[in-house]
Amino acid sequence: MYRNLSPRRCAIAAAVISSLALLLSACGSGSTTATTASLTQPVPKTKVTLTVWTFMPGEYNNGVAAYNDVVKAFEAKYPQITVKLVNIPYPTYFQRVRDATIARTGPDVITMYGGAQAYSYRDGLFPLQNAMQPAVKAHLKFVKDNESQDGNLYILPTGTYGYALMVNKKLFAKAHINPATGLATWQSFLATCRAMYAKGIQPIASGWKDGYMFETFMYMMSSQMMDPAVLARWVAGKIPVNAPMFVSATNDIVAMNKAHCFGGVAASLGRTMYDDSFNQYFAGQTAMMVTGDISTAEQSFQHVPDSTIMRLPQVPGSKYTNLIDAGAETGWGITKWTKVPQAAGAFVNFLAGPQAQGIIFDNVGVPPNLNNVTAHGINPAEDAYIPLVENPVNHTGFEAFPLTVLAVYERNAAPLISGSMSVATFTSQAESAWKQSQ
Amino acid sequence: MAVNTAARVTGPARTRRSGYSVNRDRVLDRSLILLIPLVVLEVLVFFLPLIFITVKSFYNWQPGEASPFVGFGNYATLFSQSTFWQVVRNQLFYLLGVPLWVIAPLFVAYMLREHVRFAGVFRTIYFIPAVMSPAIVGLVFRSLLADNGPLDESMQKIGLGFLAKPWLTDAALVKPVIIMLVLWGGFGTGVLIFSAALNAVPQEIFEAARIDGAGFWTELWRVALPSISSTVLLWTMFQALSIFLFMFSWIFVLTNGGPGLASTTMDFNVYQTFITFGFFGAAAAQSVVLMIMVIVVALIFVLIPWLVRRAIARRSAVLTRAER
Repeated sequence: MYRNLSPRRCAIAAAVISSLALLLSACGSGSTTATTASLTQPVPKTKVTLTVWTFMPGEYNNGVAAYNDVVKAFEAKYPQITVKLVNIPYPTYFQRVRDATIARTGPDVITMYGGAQAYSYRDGLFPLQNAMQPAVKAHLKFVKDNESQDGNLYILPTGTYGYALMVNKKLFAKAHINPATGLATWQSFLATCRAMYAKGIQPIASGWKDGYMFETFMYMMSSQMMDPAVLARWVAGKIPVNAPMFVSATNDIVAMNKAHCFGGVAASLGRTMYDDSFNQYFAGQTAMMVTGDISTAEQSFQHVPDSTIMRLPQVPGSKYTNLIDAGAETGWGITKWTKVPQAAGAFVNFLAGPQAQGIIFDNVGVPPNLNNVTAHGINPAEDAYIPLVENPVNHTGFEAFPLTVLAVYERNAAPLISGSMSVATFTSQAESAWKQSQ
Repeated sequence: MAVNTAARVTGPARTRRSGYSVNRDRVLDRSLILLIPLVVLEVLVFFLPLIFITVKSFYNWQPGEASPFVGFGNYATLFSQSTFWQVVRNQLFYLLGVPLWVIAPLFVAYMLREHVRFAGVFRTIYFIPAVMSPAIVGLVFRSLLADNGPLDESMQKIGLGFLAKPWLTDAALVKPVIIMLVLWGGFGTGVLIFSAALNAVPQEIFEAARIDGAGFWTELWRVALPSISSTVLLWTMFQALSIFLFMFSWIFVLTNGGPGLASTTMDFNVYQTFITFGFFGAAAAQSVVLMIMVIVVALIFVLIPWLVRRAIARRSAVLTRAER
């Protein structure tokens, strides 16, 4: 049989395989149908459908209604555009977006975090720094925080989050600790943890299984140690994750653990941050809990009416006196394969504008990230939370953590807290991952 | 050509073989026609993507954008990463489960052959996990084995609290636990396959062995195993390859590769590199390395029996010569 494979046939077969391979490799280089300039051109009068993929409506109890209202308001302004809002659950959302990026087909507008996350999807996203309408550009906050390392802004940031501590005043009283003094400084904070633990009270609701808690504290602490110049260098990818401020933040988290801030280590390793740790606080089992949004704060007030919201004390090395890690809640990008770039440009600018952000705030309580709009609280949670997140010195380095680094944090958080992994190894693995992303 | 054809049909022996060959060729021709759709499908869904991925592994692949040729750059980066080698070590650790995944169902299948009452019921019970998706089984066990989950709580309640462990969050425990869960998932299929193989062995052989005084273990070792050696080999090869090819759903659902990288497998790593991080060229290089490992493992399983047969044949030849 093999004797029939003459050299000529072999050569033909090789040529066919090579041609197919080249053809296949060429398949990946699709052409772009729109340009950045087309995003800011007037929206044509012809009827078009704009497909939007997002996970945001599913994040809030009233989210679907809120985003439907936003769509209605946009369609009223642009009657020729029909918005098809596709709500994709968060767990599968980014995979769907990745698939669409590879296939070069799918939505025109997507929900996307800025900075490093958007950079990871940059093959499918238009830079938007020149696509912002002047009214939006003049007032939008957290724009610099959301730039990617190549200097492009791949999303228009919207909404505001801010990490703060829910405080169960009843448990503080039980421990005879005044929250204001107990959380005044880093040292008093650690002393508070020790005192509470000694009295059988778990200080902070905790769960390390998914690693999000480590990431959250890393954002909260490292943001305090970044002045605007350092933040700009970090966003530009010029500071590695083994820089002293990140090592210091890691050590601070370990120090919190040693001060029993998170309660019993063994039990906390098997819990997740989201759901598990929240449920601990809601059940009145812990004196504090980290929260990043008003929605969770409101839930906390419902479960634990004796709650208040306070800042995490400034860590040693903080450049501020009262900063909390706060930034854009999310962002909106325009895909490079969109056939309706003008409509997409109009929609993301609308989402970033005061009307849409006002609807979202009224419905789900996410404060706008616009410096010409003031949010007013309508319940105790909002009254306590809004002043913290509206602090003008707030910023975040969260957006600039590469996905590879976050993956290391997520998988190594439990080993770090359990003591089976040293801070040096933890940092070294994060640094390797950071290099990979550069 | 004509001369050759004539030469082929002149001699009596050759004529007979030639006649047989013509019929066989016709059958083969028809078979080939039937095989073409499968071959085309195989080329389309297997070989072309394989070539595509192999080609892409030499590029800094950015879908839809300029993707510069980087030669072996993706491979060099991959081999220089300590995390990659940790994943390879995990993969080799999981190989330790193969003997268990083979011996346990084989032994039970042999036991069931021994006129056990309700053997069919047992086989059915053992087979039930096999009809469930590993993802579903994984979800069930993720809840059962959670820290302070139902298993740990039950142990504490019956006074065996010292046995309660962080089954899926302890780096030292997680891989052995996964090996046991994979055993649970594939056990029924193994029992079924080995039972079928054992049933195909003529009973007279076992009866003759018993008359000759063979005990349980002798019968198993000297009669049963040699009789179904090809099935055992096939199952072993399948189990070994499954470690490289089919662990994803278990890892994804049970541990997400953690704690740390303690349970990460190569297929899961490829997924993360491709989907989560968007390093397409690097993921392509990892896929090629994974494919090469699979081929090496498959080759080992092809070569070992061949070497064993060759050694036996040589030994027999030596013995025959010695007897003469």
